[in-house]
This record gives sequence, C-alpha cells and structure tokens, in this order.
Amino acid sequence: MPDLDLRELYLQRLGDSLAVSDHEREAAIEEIDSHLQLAADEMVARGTPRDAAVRQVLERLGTPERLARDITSAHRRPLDLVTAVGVAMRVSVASGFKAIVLAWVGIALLAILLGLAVAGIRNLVGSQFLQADWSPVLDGLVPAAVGAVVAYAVGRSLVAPIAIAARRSRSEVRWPVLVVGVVVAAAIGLTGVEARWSLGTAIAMASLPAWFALGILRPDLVPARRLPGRWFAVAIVVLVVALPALLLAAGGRLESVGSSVVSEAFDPNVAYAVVGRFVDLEHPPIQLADATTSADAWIGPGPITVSRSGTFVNGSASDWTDLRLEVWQGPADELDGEALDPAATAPLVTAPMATDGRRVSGEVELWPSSDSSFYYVAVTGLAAAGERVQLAWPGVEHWQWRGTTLQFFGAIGR
Amino acid sequence: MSPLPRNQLLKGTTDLLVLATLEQERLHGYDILQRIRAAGRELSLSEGALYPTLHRLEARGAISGTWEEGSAGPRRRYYSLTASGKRLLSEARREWERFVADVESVASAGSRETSNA
Repeated sequence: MPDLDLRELYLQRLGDSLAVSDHEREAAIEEIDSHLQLAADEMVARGTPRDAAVRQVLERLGTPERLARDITSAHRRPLDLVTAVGVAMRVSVASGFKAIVLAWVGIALLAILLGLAVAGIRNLVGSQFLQADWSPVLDGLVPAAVGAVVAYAVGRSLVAPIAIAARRSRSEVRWPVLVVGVVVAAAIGLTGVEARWSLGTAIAMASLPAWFALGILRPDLVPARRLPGRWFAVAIVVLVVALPALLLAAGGRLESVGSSVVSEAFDPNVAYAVVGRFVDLEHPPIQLADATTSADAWIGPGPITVSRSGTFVNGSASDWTDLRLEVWQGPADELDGEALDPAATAPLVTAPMATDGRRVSGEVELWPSSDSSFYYVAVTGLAAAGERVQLAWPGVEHWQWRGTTLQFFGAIGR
Repeated sequence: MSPLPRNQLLKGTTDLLVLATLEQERLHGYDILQRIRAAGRELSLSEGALYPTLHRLEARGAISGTWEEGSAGPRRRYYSLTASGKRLLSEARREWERFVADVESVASAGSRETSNA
C-alpha cells in the first residue's frame, strides 16, 4: 500500500518537525490526517485514483517541515523565549545530575575492576606497581571524564525541549543552543574545576565544549533509553556504598604494602654537589630558626614567597661571601629517594640574603611549575677559595600545584 | 501574468476569510476550505495556509475547536467563532472596507484625470 506509506511518512515527518507539546502535536497530526482522508475520498468519488488523490492533497499541503513550521509559529506566545531559557536551565540541571551520578557509578565500577586487576598484578609481579603515585593522574582524569559525560548528556537532551518551549523548529534552536552551550562549557572546562592537571587531563577537561557540541549534533551516538527509577536508585546506592567501600579496602591494602626499596650508602656531598658541598653536615654554620612560605601544601598558579632566616652559630658571616637563598628542582616524586633532581644544573630561583654578621635572612619568589611538586631549598655562600658551599641544612619542600586548566596552560606558556 | 498577484493579495486576508466563513455556522477545516472556494472561485486558499491560520486564530481566542466523531471516517475538529472572534471579524471588515476604499480612491483618480483631460 504505497499510498498509506506516503501518508504515514508525511504524518511522521510532520510530527517530528512540530515543536509543540505532545497534546498539541497529536491533535495537529490527527486534524491533518482527517483533512487528508476527506479530501482524498472526495477526489476518489470524482474518479481520481486514490494514490493520485493522496499525492495531490499532500502537494497542496506543502512539505511537512514547512507546514510544521507554520503551525508551530501559530502557537507562539510573547514569553516563549523566557520559558525556553527556564526549560534550558531545568533540563541542564536534571540531565546533568543524572549524568554525574551515572558517571560516578561507572568510575566506581571501573575502580573496582582496576582494584581487582592491581591485586592480580601484585600477585604476579610484586608490589612495585602499587608504589607509583597515581593521584596526580586521577585528580585530573576523574573530573575530565565526568565532565565529558555530563557535557554530552546535557547537549543531547537540550534541543527538543527548548524547541518546544520556544515554539521553534529544532533546526532554528540547534545553533543558538550550540553557541551558548559551547561558551558555558568552555567557561566551566577552563575555569570551573581546580585540580592537579597533566597535559593530557587538562586537554581532556578543556575539550568539554567539543563533547557538548557532539551531544547537540549527534544525540544518536548513545541510544536514548529511559533509566527506570529503580535502576537509578540502585546506581546511587552503588555510588554511595561501593565507592567508600572500595576506598576503605584500598586504604587497608596500601597500608600493608611494605617497601622494597633497598637502601644504599648515601653521600650528601656527592648527591647535592651541584648545589655546593656541605661545610659541616653535623654542625652547619647557620642554624635556621625560621622557615616560612606564603603557600600551603596546595598552591595555586601564582608565585609563592620562600623565606629563610637564622643565625651563625659556628664562625661568623665574614668567613663567606655572596650569601644566597636558592630553590632547586626536587625529585620527580618522593619515591625517588633523592631530594634533588639529578638533571638540575642551576637553581630555579635565587636571591641574596642579608646579614649583620650574626643574623642572616632572605626571601625568594618562586613561580611553581605545574608538573613539579618537590623543591630543594638551600642557603649557600662562597668560601674564601671561591667555592660555593651549603651553609645550613637544606629543606625538601612539597608544594603541589593546583589550579584550573586555563591557569595550567598559562603556567606551561610561562 | 496578472499585474495583481492574487496569492499576495490573499495573504493579508486569510484571517478575514476564515472568520467570515465561520460567522454563520461551525465548520471543520476541510469544509471551511470548500466554502471559501465555492464563494470565490479565484480565492485558491491552500490547505497549507489554512491550518496554521486556524491554529493561530484559536491561540488568540478568536475561534474555538472541538473534536467530534464523523458520520463515517476519522474524527473532525469543528471550529466556531468566539465573542472575541466576532469583535475581531468586525474590526477586520472595517479595516478591509477602508483598505478597499483607499485603493479604489487612488486607482480611480488616475482614470478621472485622464477622462477630464
């Protein structure tokens, strides 16, 4: 029955293009269908073949998209656009919340699987794998992954309800929503979340606009499926129960892991020779009394001020010249066993220290790097022979860079 | 080609045509179309223009529609004029008469001047 197919196809396209409420859509389709049948019946009664009659009536109605657009615009009211903004916010919050819950449940389940995999690897190759510090990777990866899921979910759920609220066709609504949503997603991706980013996780987080755009332009990538309320409740329980249980279990496991690092003979005058030899490791000439910084353990992208002050307890300041406070690059991670980056050849920053002959003090400003967290702080001076020596016990500081992706990219550029 | 394209003239008068057709009795969309075509053979109002007009007038409260079972075939949506629609029809008629008078005044002025000369 090709006529029926043609009629049904027309009505289906009409329904798909109508941006009105479900009730209004059903009524409009039924009315057009009624008209179609009446007009075709009359033409058939006058001798026109039914298929030709249906085609002629459909031609007079115009394309279903044009008819849908005209009917939709007939339902417009003055405050439709205001309503559409409200609908956009409501849909964003609702779909975003569901996506956050589902993403976290997915991450929790993935973490459980990884936990099992790690346990298996540990049995196979020992515990070295567990000693790696994965937290910097996860700190950025988790918000980037959750953000991508939320951005896609919000994008794919926005167009249809906004089109209905605004009484506009989806094609009319799609691009304005895309532009506004991309701007909002970019703002969130670049400035909304602070974390310890790596280049990969920062790029992933900054790509939220792309995920949102994908949701707008290709909502069919993930099949639409209404999640039953019962399953949604199960997902929340998994999130609330499984994740803490996993963390508790992982915590207990990590505590039981012993270190397999073999200690070796350590000579600080060799390990830190690039900074300067130690004058006296047991009784350094300068006793540091005050060691402060302007930052907590978690620092932002801005500069921090490192201050050191102390007194000469062995000899006097006149034995050394050019007293300096220096900050050197520390180890890549604390498991390296060294307090200084072996590749370091010069301090990151250095500044002269003031002295009155007995007391000494100074401060230096450091722009922390986003990919470093350990720093070696030393007080040095020139000996009479012109050799630079370390005059106080050095400090290995752990300042962890934390900021938004925008600040991260700024730090890389600097 | 006509110097006065009827489709263009018809565009501004669709509301008036529909309201006037519904003045006497309640009708469904197909009947409205047939009445207009029967009354003015040159008024080729299309189905594609009729239904958006009906939806717009109903949204404005000028007409109201109700579903009724047809004697045979599908349900039909019958429209009737509301009190607001009657006022709108009166205004539309007055506006149309003024418009016709103005057009007539300008169009016939040229022919009077020609005959006077």
